[in-house]
Amino acid sequence: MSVKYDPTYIKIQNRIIVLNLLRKKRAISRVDLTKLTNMSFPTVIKVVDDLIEKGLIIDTETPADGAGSVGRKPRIIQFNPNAIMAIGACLEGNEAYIGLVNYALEIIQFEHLRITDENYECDLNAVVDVIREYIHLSDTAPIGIGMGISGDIDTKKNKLIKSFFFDGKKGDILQNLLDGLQVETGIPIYIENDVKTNCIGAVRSTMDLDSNDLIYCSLGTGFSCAIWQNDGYLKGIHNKAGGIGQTYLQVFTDSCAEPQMLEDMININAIKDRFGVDIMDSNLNEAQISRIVDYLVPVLNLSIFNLYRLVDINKFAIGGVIPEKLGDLFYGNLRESFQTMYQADVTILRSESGRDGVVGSADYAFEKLLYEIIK
Amino acid sequence: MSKKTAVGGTAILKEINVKKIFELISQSEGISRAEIAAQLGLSVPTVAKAAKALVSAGFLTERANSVANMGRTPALLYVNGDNAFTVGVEFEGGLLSMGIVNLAHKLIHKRTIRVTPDLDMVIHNIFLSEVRRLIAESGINPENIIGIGIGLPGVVDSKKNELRRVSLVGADDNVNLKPIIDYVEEQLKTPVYVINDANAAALGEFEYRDKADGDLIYISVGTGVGAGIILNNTLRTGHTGHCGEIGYMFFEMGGRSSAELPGWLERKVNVDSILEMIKERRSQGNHDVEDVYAYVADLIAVAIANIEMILDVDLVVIGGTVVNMLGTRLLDKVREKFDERCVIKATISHGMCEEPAIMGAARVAYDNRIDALLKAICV
Repeated sequence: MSVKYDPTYIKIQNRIIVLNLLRKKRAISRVDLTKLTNMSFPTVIKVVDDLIEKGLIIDTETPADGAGSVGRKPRIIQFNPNAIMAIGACLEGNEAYIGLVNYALEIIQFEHLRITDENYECDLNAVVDVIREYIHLSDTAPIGIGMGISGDIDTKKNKLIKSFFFDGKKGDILQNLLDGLQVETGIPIYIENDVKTNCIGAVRSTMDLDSNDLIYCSLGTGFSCAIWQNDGYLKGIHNKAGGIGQTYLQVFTDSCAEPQMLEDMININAIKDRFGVDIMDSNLNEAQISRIVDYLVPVLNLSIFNLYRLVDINKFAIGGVIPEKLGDLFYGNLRESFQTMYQADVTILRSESGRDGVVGSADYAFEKLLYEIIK
Repeated sequence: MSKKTAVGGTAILKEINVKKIFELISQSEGISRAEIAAQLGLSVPTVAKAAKALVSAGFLTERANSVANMGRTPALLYVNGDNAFTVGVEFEGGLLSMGIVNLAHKLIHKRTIRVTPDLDMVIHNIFLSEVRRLIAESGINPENIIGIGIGLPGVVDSKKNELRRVSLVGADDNVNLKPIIDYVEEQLKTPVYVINDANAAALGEFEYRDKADGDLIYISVGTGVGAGIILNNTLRTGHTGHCGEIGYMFFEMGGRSSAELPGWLERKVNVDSILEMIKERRSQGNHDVEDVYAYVADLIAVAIANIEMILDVDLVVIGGTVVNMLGTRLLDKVREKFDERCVIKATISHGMCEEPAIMGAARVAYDNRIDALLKAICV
């Protein structure tokens, strides 16, 4: 990243620091801002005034708690969550989640639709209709639309490159619809891979002030992860980082000479082959769920352990259609067996499918537009 | 790194500028003030002022540019390498290696001795006299040593100042590094920094190659297996300092892990087990030991393929005793197997830096000290 060390840069950076702090803490006094940011008091006053003028924060008459009993008490300034809005949409294969999200990353409206293979174009249009509806719903028009789409994305060109689900003609239809929507509404659309936007959502929902580091794993038709470290996710030199599903297992055992890819062992097709059920369509009974859980948990835990050892991140969020279907039993077994097998200090979180994706996609748009928001 | 601090006012700006200017000169083979100003987007007077302070503090020297042929020749600025030095040390079980590195990142003197793999004994009975001998041999005034970096096997938790689980250097339990650091600092009168040895080697190799895109993974296969991971020009250490402990990764089902057990991968491939395999083959009249090469190459290639699928880095450097012992024949096999396995393209290479761990450990001392030294001249 090339950075110019000029005063304008510093001014913008100072605004970003104050705004992000308020986004996390919601309310704070100017004095506490000074302490937390190491900025001088006059600088804080100037930055706060700028942000108030933009409507991003609000000055209140509320005095700060615990202030000294003598003299004028410092007043609280508040983050204004509804000053700006964004739409987050996540297209995870057949599942589509759309949400209207405010700057505090609260979901104001939420919709879950299905994109079927039979009515593909019609279903996709329904998704776009919901987005249109959300644009007009709020008093403040959304500043951007963030989209998480399963597949390889060229984030610079904002284009879908390759996707298992949105392949060939289906991909073209989707791209045309999005391009049309952008022209029609004048609202910019930003596309990123769905696992990455889910990861952003999971990071934001943990609200951990000390460390954001987290790995989001998604298990469905594929198995992949996004690694969030030092305030951003790893992309990799070919934009292929996070391919945990394409790592090899069981290469050296006598019973299995051939290397096997993790993904081929535990994705939807593997479950279909092994248990004779389509996890998406069938209503599974308890015995079936239990058998599938017993099979998946050791493989997933081994993946979690390897990731933990490689990058030393101890917070994992697990999501995707398979964990969603298997529910409590899956998450319970995963946590318990991880401790038994590996005795490592690792937290395994349940990612609410749809919610994390919508919040993460919206936040992706907010991040892209951050400079516009504060300049 | 998640805690943001303010970018601040003009004093910090001055510091940043001085540091940027010094860094740029460090990376160049002589550069003019005008060129620095152009490259950094600063004004010539700002550069001139910073350069003046750096020259008078002894960090830079200037010489006339012999190439320019018309008009007044602009003087070129160079880092004065002999103004200050760091010491880099690598302790890997049976070997203690150390070297002196100057401000221009050149290794100017080194020595290596065989020792008993016992951290406490080495630190208290051997280390100090060896470092003093190194400095004496080099003829450098000990007062010009600005810091010492020590590379150790095992997990170095710099937040807690703790070294964890390294049975191969006689430290079965966690070692509190603070008394060791304090002792060495007091005796040698210079700040001491401790780093994991694979991380040090990654830094050394990275610095030597001067890679533009900023990514490199260094995998060391020796007494144990470990890796140093550099992404975006930054060495990753992780939450507790164990980032890159790939010796603990499992590539088959059914394994368990606990604090007492060595890792799965390093149980499968380490210098002792490989030597044992070779000895056994030779005693049976098999001197080619082709299957040993195939076995080691297969494990290393799978490890690299799996790491690549997760991190997607374009350069992997392999080193350590096992890799050095088996040489190019192993490297060729690793490449072949890796290409079969991995859909991501990556270059796999031997180390190019002569002493990566010494250079990397010295670099840590440099990075920790240079800011304070440059800051002092800004006042």
